[in-house]
Amino acid sequence: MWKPGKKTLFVLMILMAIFGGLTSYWIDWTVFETNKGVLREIQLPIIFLVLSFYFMIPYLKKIKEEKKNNEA
Amino acid sequence: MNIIKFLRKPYLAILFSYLILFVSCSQYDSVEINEQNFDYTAFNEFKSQGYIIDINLIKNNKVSLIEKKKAILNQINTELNTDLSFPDKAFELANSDVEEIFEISMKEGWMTQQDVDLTNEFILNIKNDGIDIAISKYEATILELSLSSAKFEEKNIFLNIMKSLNYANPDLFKTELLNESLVANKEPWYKCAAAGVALVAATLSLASCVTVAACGLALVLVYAASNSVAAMCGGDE
Repeated sequence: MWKPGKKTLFVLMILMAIFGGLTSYWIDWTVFETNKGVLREIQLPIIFLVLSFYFMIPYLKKIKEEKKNNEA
Repeated sequence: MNIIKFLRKPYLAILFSYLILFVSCSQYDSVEINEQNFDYTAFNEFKSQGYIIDINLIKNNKVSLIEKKKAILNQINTELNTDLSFPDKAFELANSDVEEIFEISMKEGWMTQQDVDLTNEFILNIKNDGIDIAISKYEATILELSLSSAKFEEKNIFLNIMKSLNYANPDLFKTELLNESLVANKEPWYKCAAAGVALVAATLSLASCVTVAACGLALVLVYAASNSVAAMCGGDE
């Protein structure tokens, strides 16, 4: 199993957020008038958004652990 | 008896035979007048007047499809000094695919099954052989069908419009462009690249998951990202 470090998680989180923003910008909003191909258009931004949160949770955990260790 | 004598005169017979001949000829003349021929006067006038109908407007993603169609109709009305208007239902068809357009048009009585078949054949011919050959084939098919004058006039107007559209926008019916847009529904390269990044990141998330819930979510993400790669890079849904 791969155990990413704090920096790696941070970079991944930011990258996913950036890609999420970019892919949201690329959405062709006219498909919402026809309701056809909507999933295809919003699929990527949603994946990136979820991935960004996915990497954020272990990153925050690591920061909390670090804080605890520093306090101890 | 004098009357019978008069009728037996040869010049009267000759006169009648000439009369019959001319009447017969005039009948054939009228048949020739009724013969159907495509008239491209409207197209030629369109060419000579230099009307500009900007189809590029369609490419603007920020405007809704119905607005685009209305804007084009406004352009046509301005250029030709006409006051053409369509029911909103017809504009709404802009949001539908080809099959839906045909279905609704038939339901509304705007098109018959024959019109649909002819149009489908025309579209197929444009894709396979280009607009010029498609028009020639369409003309031949219509002439073979011997349609009523009203129906023939409809087809004549249709071809005039097609020719005018092709003249004003030479790239509109380019075979290779049509095939590109119809066969592949192609996405730009950067969307494919982004889908690739999403798949890599989703795989990383699967490799690093600890809890069952996280692994479940990671699996869903990998599946969604794979679908996305197939859709964005494969060219089809």
